[in-house]
Amino acid sequence: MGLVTSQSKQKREQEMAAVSQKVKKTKLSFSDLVIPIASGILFIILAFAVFIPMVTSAFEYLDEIKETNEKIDQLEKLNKQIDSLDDNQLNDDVLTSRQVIPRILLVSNFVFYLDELAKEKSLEISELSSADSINGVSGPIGYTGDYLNVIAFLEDVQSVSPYMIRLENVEVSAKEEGDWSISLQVSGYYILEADKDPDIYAPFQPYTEYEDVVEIFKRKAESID
Amino acid sequence: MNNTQTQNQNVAPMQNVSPAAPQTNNTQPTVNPTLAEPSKGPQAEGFNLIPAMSQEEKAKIKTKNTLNIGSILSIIALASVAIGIVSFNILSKAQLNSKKASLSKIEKTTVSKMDKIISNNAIVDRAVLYLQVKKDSFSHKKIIEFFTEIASKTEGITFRSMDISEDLTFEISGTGPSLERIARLWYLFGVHENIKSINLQSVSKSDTGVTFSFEGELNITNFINE
Repeated sequence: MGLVTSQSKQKREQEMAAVSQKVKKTKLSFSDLVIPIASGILFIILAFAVFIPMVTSAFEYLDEIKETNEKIDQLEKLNKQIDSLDDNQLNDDVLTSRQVIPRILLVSNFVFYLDELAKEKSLEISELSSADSINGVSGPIGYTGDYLNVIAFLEDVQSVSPYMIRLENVEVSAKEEGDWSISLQVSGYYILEADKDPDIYAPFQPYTEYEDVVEIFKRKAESID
Repeated sequence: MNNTQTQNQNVAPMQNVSPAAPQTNNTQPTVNPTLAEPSKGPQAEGFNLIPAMSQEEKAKIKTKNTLNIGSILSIIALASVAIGIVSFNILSKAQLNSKKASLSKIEKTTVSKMDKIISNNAIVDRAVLYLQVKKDSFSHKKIIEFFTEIASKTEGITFRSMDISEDLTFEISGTGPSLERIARLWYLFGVHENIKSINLQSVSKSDTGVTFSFEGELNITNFINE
Protein backbone atom coordinates (compact mmCIF):
# COMPACT_ATOMS: atom_id res chain seq x y z
CA MET A 1 0.00 0.00 0.00
CA GLY A 2 2.89 2.34 0.87
CA LEU A 3 4.49 1.70 -2.52
CA VAL A 4 1.35 2.64 -4.33
CA THR A 5 1.11 5.87 -2.36
CA SER A 6 4.67 6.97 -3.12
CA GLN A 7 4.29 6.09 -6.79
CA SER A 8 1.07 7.95 -7.19
CA LYS A 9 2.49 10.93 -5.33
CA GLN A 10 5.53 11.04 -7.60
CA LYS A 11 3.29 10.72 -10.64
CA ARG A 12 1.11 13.53 -9.45
CA GLU A 13 4.10 15.74 -8.93
CA GLN A 14 5.34 15.04 -12.42
CA GLU A 15 1.95 15.72 -13.87
CA MET A 16 1.69 18.98 -11.95
CA ALA A 17 5.12 20.06 -13.27
CA ALA A 18 4.01 19.33 -16.81
CA VAL A 19 0.79 21.23 -16.35
CA SER A 20 2.53 24.25 -14.85
CA GLN A 21 4.96 24.36 -17.80
CA LYS A 22 2.08 24.20 -20.24
CA VAL A 23 0.31 27.02 -18.44
CA LYS A 24 3.52 29.04 -18.54
CA LYS A 25 3.65 28.57 -22.32
CA THR A 26 0.08 29.74 -22.86
CA LYS A 27 0.51 32.96 -20.80
CA LEU A 28 0.33 36.31 -22.66
CA SER A 29 3.91 37.42 -23.09
CA PHE A 30 5.48 40.67 -24.33
CA SER A 31 6.30 39.08 -27.68
CA ASP A 32 2.58 38.71 -28.32
CA LEU A 33 2.10 42.50 -28.08
CA VAL A 34 5.07 43.46 -30.26
CA ILE A 35 3.15 43.45 -33.54
CA PRO A 36 0.11 45.47 -32.42
CA ILE A 37 2.30 48.01 -30.64
CA ALA A 38 4.66 48.26 -33.63
CA SER A 39 1.66 48.67 -35.93
CA GLY A 40 0.31 51.46 -33.75
CA ILE A 41 3.61 53.30 -33.62
CA LEU A 42 4.09 52.88 -37.37
CA PHE A 43 0.57 54.19 -37.93
CA ILE A 44 1.25 57.29 -35.84
CA ILE A 45 4.54 57.97 -37.62
CA LEU A 46 2.96 57.43 -41.04
CA ALA A 47 0.00 59.57 -40.07
CA PHE A 48 2.20 62.59 -39.33
CA ALA A 49 4.76 61.96 -42.04
CA VAL A 50 2.57 60.77 -44.90
CA PHE A 51 -1.14 60.47 -44.28
CA ILE A 52 -1.93 63.96 -42.97
CA PRO A 53 0.09 65.75 -45.73
CA MET A 54 -1.47 63.47 -48.35
CA VAL A 55 -5.01 64.05 -47.11
CA THR A 56 -4.36 67.80 -46.87
CA SER A 57 -3.01 67.93 -50.40
CA ALA A 58 -5.92 65.78 -51.61
CA PHE A 59 -8.37 68.31 -50.18
CA GLU A 60 -6.37 71.09 -51.83
CA TYR A 61 -6.71 69.21 -55.11
CA LEU A 62 -10.46 69.03 -54.55
CA ASP A 63 -10.58 72.80 -54.01
CA GLU A 64 -8.54 73.32 -57.16
CA ILE A 65 -10.90 71.01 -59.06
CA LYS A 66 -13.81 73.15 -57.86
CA GLU A 67 -12.06 76.34 -58.99
CA THR A 68 -11.11 74.75 -62.31
CA ASN A 69 -14.71 73.69 -62.88
CA GLU A 70 -15.88 77.24 -62.22
CA LYS A 71 -13.30 78.57 -64.68
CA ILE A 72 -14.36 76.02 -67.28
CA ASP A 73 -18.00 77.05 -66.84
CA GLN A 74 -17.06 80.72 -67.08
CA LEU A 75 -15.02 80.23 -70.25
CA GLU A 76 -17.72 78.06 -71.83
CA LYS A 77 -20.24 80.82 -71.14
CA LEU A 78 -17.81 83.41 -72.52
CA ASN A 79 -17.27 81.37 -75.67
CA LYS A 80 -21.01 81.08 -76.19
CA GLN A 81 -21.41 84.85 -75.79
CA ILE A 82 -18.55 85.55 -78.19
CA ASP A 83 -19.94 83.10 -80.74
CA SER A 84 -23.31 84.84 -80.56
CA LEU A 85 -21.70 88.07 -81.85
CA ASP A 86 -21.71 88.47 -85.60
CA ASP A 87 -18.16 89.08 -86.83
CA ASN A 88 -19.00 91.54 -89.59
CA GLN A 89 -21.47 93.50 -87.48
CA LEU A 90 -18.96 93.68 -84.63
CA ASN A 91 -16.24 95.03 -86.93
CA ASP A 92 -18.59 97.69 -88.31
CA ASP A 93 -19.78 98.70 -84.85
CA VAL A 94 -16.31 98.97 -83.37
CA LEU A 95 -15.21 101.22 -86.24
CA THR A 96 -18.26 103.41 -85.70
CA SER A 97 -17.68 103.62 -81.95
CA ARG A 98 -14.05 104.54 -82.45
CA GLN A 99 -15.10 107.35 -84.74
CA VAL A 100 -17.33 108.91 -82.08
CA ILE A 101 -15.01 108.30 -79.16
CA PRO A 102 -11.61 107.85 -80.78
CA ARG A 103 -8.59 106.13 -79.33
CA ILE A 104 -6.91 109.49 -79.29
CA LEU A 105 -8.42 112.90 -79.86
CA LEU A 106 -5.94 115.38 -81.16
CA VAL A 107 -6.38 118.88 -79.82
CA SER A 108 -5.89 120.23 -83.34
CA ASN A 109 -8.72 118.06 -84.74
CA PHE A 110 -11.07 118.99 -81.94
CA VAL A 111 -10.38 122.72 -82.17
CA PHE A 112 -10.66 122.58 -85.95
CA TYR A 113 -14.06 120.88 -85.69
CA LEU A 114 -15.44 123.48 -83.22
CA ASP A 115 -14.16 126.38 -85.27
CA GLU A 116 -15.68 124.98 -88.47
CA LEU A 117 -19.02 124.57 -86.71
CA ALA A 118 -18.91 128.18 -85.46
CA LYS A 119 -18.07 129.44 -88.94
CA GLU A 120 -21.10 127.57 -90.33
CA LYS A 121 -23.25 129.60 -87.91
CA SER A 122 -21.51 132.85 -88.88
CA LEU A 123 -20.07 133.29 -85.41
CA GLU A 124 -16.89 135.20 -84.76
CA ILE A 125 -14.26 133.82 -82.47
CA SER A 126 -13.48 135.68 -79.28
CA GLU A 127 -11.67 132.98 -77.32
CA LEU A 128 -10.47 129.49 -78.20
CA SER A 129 -8.00 127.31 -76.38
CA SER A 130 -7.79 123.61 -75.69
CA ALA A 131 -5.47 121.23 -73.90
CA ASP A 132 -5.22 117.55 -73.11
CA SER A 133 -6.83 116.39 -69.92
CA ILE A 134 -7.57 112.92 -68.54
CA ASN A 135 -9.12 110.95 -71.40
CA GLY A 136 -10.18 114.16 -73.05
CA VAL A 137 -9.44 117.53 -74.57
CA SER A 138 -10.95 120.55 -72.91
CA GLY A 139 -10.73 124.31 -72.82
CA PRO A 140 -12.73 127.53 -72.87
CA ILE A 141 -14.22 128.84 -76.10
CA GLY A 142 -16.04 132.08 -76.89
CA TYR A 143 -17.93 133.33 -79.93
CA THR A 144 -20.10 136.27 -80.84
CA GLY A 145 -22.94 136.52 -83.27
CA ASP A 146 -26.66 136.62 -83.80
CA TYR A 147 -28.80 135.31 -80.91
CA LEU A 148 -30.39 132.55 -83.00
CA ASN A 149 -27.02 131.44 -84.35
CA VAL A 150 -25.55 131.35 -80.87
CA ILE A 151 -28.38 129.09 -79.70
CA ALA A 152 -28.06 126.89 -82.81
CA PHE A 153 -24.32 126.57 -82.17
CA LEU A 154 -25.05 125.40 -78.63
CA GLU A 155 -27.48 122.81 -79.93
CA ASP A 156 -25.18 121.48 -82.63
CA VAL A 157 -22.16 121.20 -80.37
CA GLN A 158 -24.16 119.21 -77.89
CA SER A 159 -26.42 117.05 -80.04
CA VAL A 160 -25.20 116.89 -83.61
CA SER A 161 -21.48 116.73 -82.93
CA PRO A 162 -19.81 113.56 -84.15
CA TYR A 163 -17.62 113.60 -81.07
CA MET A 164 -18.81 113.05 -77.57
CA ILE A 165 -18.73 116.55 -76.13
CA ARG A 166 -19.67 117.97 -72.76
CA LEU A 167 -20.48 121.62 -72.19
CA GLU A 168 -19.93 123.33 -68.85
CA ASN A 169 -20.48 126.82 -67.45
CA VAL A 170 -22.34 128.24 -70.40
CA GLU A 171 -22.74 132.01 -70.33
CA VAL A 172 -24.78 133.83 -72.91
CA SER A 173 -24.81 137.62 -72.77
CA ALA A 174 -26.03 140.44 -74.93
CA LYS A 175 -23.50 142.81 -76.44
CA GLU A 176 -24.16 146.49 -76.87
CA GLU A 177 -24.33 146.40 -80.66
CA GLY A 178 -27.15 143.82 -80.62
CA ASP A 179 -25.05 140.72 -81.00
CA TRP A 180 -24.78 138.02 -78.38
CA SER A 181 -21.68 136.40 -77.04
CA ILE A 182 -21.32 132.89 -75.76
CA SER A 183 -18.53 131.53 -73.62
CA LEU A 184 -18.30 128.02 -72.29
CA GLN A 185 -15.99 125.24 -71.20
CA VAL A 186 -16.03 122.40 -73.72
CA SER A 187 -14.63 118.88 -73.32
CA GLY A 188 -14.22 116.18 -75.96
CA TYR A 189 -13.57 112.60 -74.90
CA TYR A 190 -11.43 109.76 -76.16
CA ILE A 191 -10.48 106.36 -74.78
CA LEU A 192 -6.92 105.14 -74.61
CA GLU A 193 -6.91 101.43 -75.36
CA ALA A 194 -4.44 99.18 -73.57
CA ASP A 195 -1.86 97.41 -75.71
CA LYS A 196 -2.00 94.17 -73.79
CA ASP A 197 -4.77 91.65 -74.24
CA PRO A 198 -7.63 91.72 -71.74
CA ASP A 199 -7.94 89.08 -69.06
CA ILE A 200 -10.17 86.29 -70.31
CA TYR A 201 -11.46 85.74 -66.79
CA ALA A 202 -12.57 89.36 -66.40
CA PRO A 203 -16.35 89.86 -66.40
CA PHE A 204 -17.61 89.96 -69.97
CA GLN A 205 -20.52 92.06 -71.12
CA PRO A 206 -21.66 91.70 -74.72
CA TYR A 207 -21.96 95.07 -76.45
CA THR A 208 -25.41 94.08 -77.71
CA GLU A 209 -26.69 95.17 -74.29
CA TYR A 210 -25.90 98.75 -75.36
CA GLU A 211 -27.58 98.64 -78.74
CA ASP A 212 -29.34 101.96 -78.18
CA VAL A 213 -26.01 103.68 -77.53
CA VAL A 214 -24.48 101.99 -80.57
CA GLU A 215 -27.35 103.41 -82.64
CA ILE A 216 -26.52 106.90 -81.34
CA PHE A 217 -22.88 106.31 -82.29
CA LYS A 218 -23.98 105.32 -85.78
CA ARG A 219 -25.97 108.52 -86.22
CA LYS A 220 -23.05 110.59 -84.96
CA ALA A 221 -20.57 108.76 -87.19
CA GLU A 222 -22.78 109.38 -90.22
CA SER A 223 -22.52 113.11 -89.58
CA ILE A 224 -18.72 112.83 -89.70
CA ASP A 225 -18.88 111.18 -93.13
CA MET B 1 15.50 20.27 -11.82
CA ASN B 2 13.65 21.29 -14.94
CA ASN B 3 15.84 19.14 -17.11
CA THR B 4 15.12 16.23 -15.00
CA GLN B 5 11.46 16.92 -15.16
CA THR B 6 11.56 17.27 -18.93
CA GLN B 7 13.33 14.02 -19.23
CA ASN B 8 10.76 12.52 -17.03
CA GLN B 9 8.04 13.62 -19.38
CA ASN B 10 9.50 11.92 -22.42
CA VAL B 11 11.16 8.91 -20.99
CA ALA B 12 9.30 6.11 -19.48
CA PRO B 13 9.96 6.24 -15.84
CA MET B 14 11.50 3.32 -14.12
CA GLN B 15 8.97 1.53 -12.05
CA ASN B 16 10.17 0.69 -8.63
CA VAL B 17 8.73 -2.64 -7.98
CA SER B 18 9.02 -4.08 -4.59
CA PRO B 19 10.34 -7.63 -4.42
CA ALA B 20 7.56 -8.31 -2.08
CA ALA B 21 4.98 -7.41 -4.63
CA PRO B 22 3.14 -10.36 -5.95
CA GLN B 23 3.85 -11.37 -9.52
CA THR B 24 0.64 -12.09 -11.33
CA ASN B 25 2.20 -13.66 -14.44
CA ASN B 26 5.33 -13.73 -16.63
CA THR B 27 4.19 -11.14 -19.08
CA GLN B 28 5.22 -7.48 -18.95
CA PRO B 29 4.04 -5.63 -15.93
CA THR B 30 0.77 -3.76 -16.37
CA VAL B 31 1.07 0.02 -16.50
CA ASN B 32 -1.53 2.39 -15.18
CA PRO B 33 -2.83 4.77 -17.85
CA THR B 34 -1.94 8.49 -17.60
CA LEU B 35 -4.56 11.19 -17.22
CA ALA B 36 -3.77 12.64 -20.68
CA GLU B 37 -4.07 9.58 -22.78
CA PRO B 38 -5.31 6.61 -21.00
CA SER B 39 -3.75 3.64 -22.56
CA LYS B 40 -5.97 0.79 -23.35
CA GLY B 41 -3.24 -1.64 -23.96
CA PRO B 42 0.37 -2.17 -23.12
CA GLN B 43 2.86 0.30 -24.69
CA ALA B 44 6.32 -0.68 -25.60
CA GLU B 45 8.03 2.75 -25.92
CA GLY B 46 6.80 4.87 -22.98
CA PHE B 47 4.07 6.87 -21.43
CA ASN B 48 2.60 10.35 -22.09
CA LEU B 49 2.56 11.98 -18.76
CA ILE B 50 1.07 15.30 -20.01
CA PRO B 51 -2.36 15.58 -18.64
CA ALA B 52 -5.33 16.37 -20.81
CA MET B 53 -6.00 20.13 -21.00
CA SER B 54 -8.52 21.42 -18.58
CA GLN B 55 -11.24 23.95 -19.64
CA GLU B 56 -9.23 26.79 -18.11
CA GLU B 57 -6.15 25.87 -20.15
CA LYS B 58 -8.22 25.71 -23.32
CA ALA B 59 -9.59 29.20 -22.64
CA LYS B 60 -6.07 30.57 -22.17
CA ILE B 61 -4.89 29.13 -25.48
CA LYS B 62 -7.95 30.61 -27.17
CA THR B 63 -7.11 34.00 -25.72
CA LYS B 64 -3.61 33.79 -27.09
CA ASN B 65 -4.92 32.86 -30.55
CA THR B 66 -7.28 35.84 -30.41
CA LEU B 67 -4.40 38.14 -29.64
CA ASN B 68 -2.53 36.89 -32.68
CA ILE B 69 -5.55 37.56 -34.85
CA GLY B 70 -5.65 41.07 -33.32
CA SER B 71 -2.08 41.66 -34.52
CA ILE B 72 -3.00 40.57 -37.99
CA LEU B 73 -6.07 42.74 -37.99
CA SER B 74 -4.04 45.77 -36.84
CA ILE B 75 -1.65 45.25 -39.75
CA ILE B 76 -4.55 44.85 -42.16
CA ALA B 77 -6.17 48.03 -40.79
CA LEU B 78 -2.90 49.95 -41.17
CA ALA B 79 -2.50 48.71 -44.72
CA SER B 80 -6.12 49.53 -45.56
CA VAL B 81 -5.85 53.08 -44.24
CA ALA B 82 -2.59 53.58 -46.12
CA ILE B 83 -4.04 52.24 -49.36
CA GLY B 84 -7.21 54.32 -48.91
CA ILE B 85 -5.37 57.59 -48.30
CA VAL B 86 -2.86 57.06 -51.10
CA SER B 87 -5.64 56.08 -53.51
CA PHE B 88 -7.68 59.16 -52.54
CA ASN B 89 -4.67 61.37 -53.11
CA ILE B 90 -3.77 59.79 -56.44
CA LEU B 91 -7.36 59.89 -57.72
CA SER B 92 -7.76 63.54 -56.69
CA LYS B 93 -4.52 64.48 -58.41
CA ALA B 94 -5.49 62.56 -61.55
CA GLN B 95 -8.89 64.23 -61.64
CA LEU B 96 -7.29 67.66 -61.17
CA ASN B 97 -4.86 67.02 -64.01
CA SER B 98 -7.72 65.96 -66.25
CA LYS B 99 -9.69 69.12 -65.41
CA LYS B 100 -6.65 71.31 -65.96
CA ALA B 101 -6.13 69.76 -69.36
CA SER B 102 -9.75 70.56 -70.25
CA LEU B 103 -9.36 74.12 -68.97
CA SER B 104 -6.18 74.61 -70.97
CA LYS B 105 -8.00 73.45 -74.10
CA ILE B 106 -10.88 75.88 -73.53
CA GLU B 107 -8.43 78.69 -72.73
CA LYS B 108 -6.73 78.16 -76.08
CA THR B 109 -10.09 78.33 -77.83
CA THR B 110 -10.96 81.53 -75.99
CA VAL B 111 -7.60 83.17 -76.68
CA SER B 112 -8.09 82.46 -80.37
CA LYS B 113 -11.17 84.74 -80.18
CA MET B 114 -9.26 87.56 -78.48
CA ASP B 115 -9.85 90.00 -81.35
CA LYS B 116 -13.58 89.74 -80.86
CA ILE B 117 -13.21 90.27 -77.12
CA ILE B 118 -11.07 93.38 -77.67
CA SER B 119 -13.56 94.81 -80.18
CA ASN B 120 -16.50 94.06 -77.91
CA ASN B 121 -14.78 95.66 -74.91
CA ALA B 122 -13.90 98.73 -76.99
CA ILE B 123 -17.58 99.27 -77.77
CA VAL B 124 -18.72 98.56 -74.20
CA ASP B 125 -16.14 100.99 -72.73
CA ARG B 126 -17.35 103.72 -75.08
CA ALA B 127 -21.00 103.02 -74.36
CA VAL B 128 -20.37 103.18 -70.62
CA LEU B 129 -18.42 106.45 -70.94
CA TYR B 130 -21.17 107.88 -73.14
CA LEU B 131 -23.83 107.00 -70.58
CA GLN B 132 -21.74 108.47 -67.74
CA VAL B 133 -21.22 111.75 -69.56
CA LYS B 134 -24.79 111.96 -70.78
CA LYS B 135 -26.34 110.89 -67.48
CA ASP B 136 -26.55 114.37 -65.96
CA SER B 137 -26.28 116.36 -69.13
CA PHE B 138 -28.98 118.79 -70.06
CA SER B 139 -29.87 120.98 -73.02
CA HIS B 140 -28.60 124.53 -72.58
CA LYS B 141 -30.69 125.56 -75.55
CA LYS B 142 -33.90 124.39 -73.85
CA ILE B 143 -33.03 126.34 -70.69
CA ILE B 144 -32.31 129.56 -72.57
CA GLU B 145 -35.54 129.14 -74.51
CA PHE B 146 -37.41 128.60 -71.22
CA PHE B 147 -36.01 131.83 -69.75
CA THR B 148 -36.94 133.70 -72.92
CA GLU B 149 -40.46 132.25 -72.90
CA ILE B 150 -41.09 133.36 -69.29
CA ALA B 151 -39.71 136.81 -70.05
CA SER B 152 -42.02 137.11 -73.05
CA LYS B 153 -45.02 136.76 -70.71
CA THR B 154 -43.99 140.00 -69.02
CA GLU B 155 -43.81 143.03 -71.27
CA GLY B 156 -40.61 145.02 -71.47
CA ILE B 157 -38.28 142.43 -69.90
CA THR B 158 -34.94 142.04 -71.64
CA PHE B 159 -32.21 139.67 -70.54
CA ARG B 160 -28.66 140.88 -70.73
CA SER B 161 -26.91 137.70 -69.60
CA MET B 162 -27.68 134.12 -68.72
CA ASP B 163 -25.16 132.04 -66.84
CA ILE B 164 -25.86 128.30 -66.51
CA SER B 165 -23.60 126.05 -64.46
CA GLU B 166 -23.16 122.28 -64.54
CA ASP B 167 -24.90 121.89 -61.18
CA LEU B 168 -28.01 123.54 -62.73
CA THR B 169 -27.62 126.76 -60.81
CA PHE B 170 -28.21 129.84 -62.91
CA GLU B 171 -27.85 133.54 -62.81
CA ILE B 172 -29.78 135.82 -65.09
CA SER B 173 -29.68 139.58 -65.33
CA GLY B 174 -31.58 142.10 -67.41
CA THR B 175 -33.69 145.20 -67.52
CA GLY B 176 -37.38 145.95 -67.13
CA PRO B 177 -39.71 148.92 -67.34
CA SER B 178 -40.82 148.94 -63.68
CA LEU B 179 -40.51 147.23 -60.35
CA GLU B 180 -43.96 145.70 -60.80
CA ARG B 181 -42.82 143.95 -63.96
CA ILE B 182 -39.76 142.61 -62.19
CA ALA B 183 -41.94 141.41 -59.33
CA ARG B 184 -44.24 139.64 -61.83
CA LEU B 185 -41.24 137.98 -63.49
CA TRP B 186 -40.01 136.87 -60.09
CA TYR B 187 -43.43 135.40 -59.34
CA LEU B 188 -43.62 133.57 -62.69
CA PHE B 189 -40.23 132.00 -62.10
CA GLY B 190 -41.14 131.13 -58.53
CA VAL B 191 -44.30 129.20 -59.35
CA HIS B 192 -42.92 127.34 -62.39
CA GLU B 193 -42.20 123.63 -62.04
CA ASN B 194 -38.87 123.98 -63.87
CA ILE B 195 -37.48 126.17 -61.11
CA LYS B 196 -36.41 124.61 -57.82
CA SER B 197 -35.54 127.90 -56.15
CA ILE B 198 -35.07 131.53 -57.16
CA ASN B 199 -33.82 134.62 -55.38
CA LEU B 200 -33.79 138.20 -56.45
CA GLN B 201 -30.13 138.92 -56.04
CA SER B 202 -30.24 142.64 -56.90
CA VAL B 203 -32.59 145.23 -58.26
CA SER B 204 -32.09 148.92 -58.92
CA LYS B 205 -34.29 151.57 -60.36
CA SER B 206 -33.09 154.49 -62.45
CA ASP B 207 -34.56 157.02 -64.89
CA THR B 208 -34.14 154.66 -67.81
CA GLY B 209 -35.73 151.67 -66.07
CA VAL B 210 -35.06 148.88 -63.62
CA THR B 211 -32.10 146.46 -63.70
CA PHE B 212 -32.32 143.13 -61.95
CA SER B 213 -30.45 139.90 -61.40
CA PHE B 214 -31.85 136.56 -60.26
CA GLU B 215 -30.07 133.49 -59.07
CA GLY B 216 -31.58 130.10 -58.52
CA GLU B 217 -31.58 126.41 -59.30
CA LEU B 218 -33.30 124.59 -62.13
CA ASN B 219 -35.18 121.31 -62.07
CA ILE B 220 -33.44 119.00 -64.57
CA THR B 221 -36.54 116.93 -65.37
CA ASN B 222 -37.67 118.93 -68.37
CA PHE B 223 -34.19 119.76 -69.67
CA ILE B 224 -32.65 116.31 -69.97
CA ASN B 225 -30.72 115.79 -73.16
CA GLU B 226 -32.34 113.10 -75.28
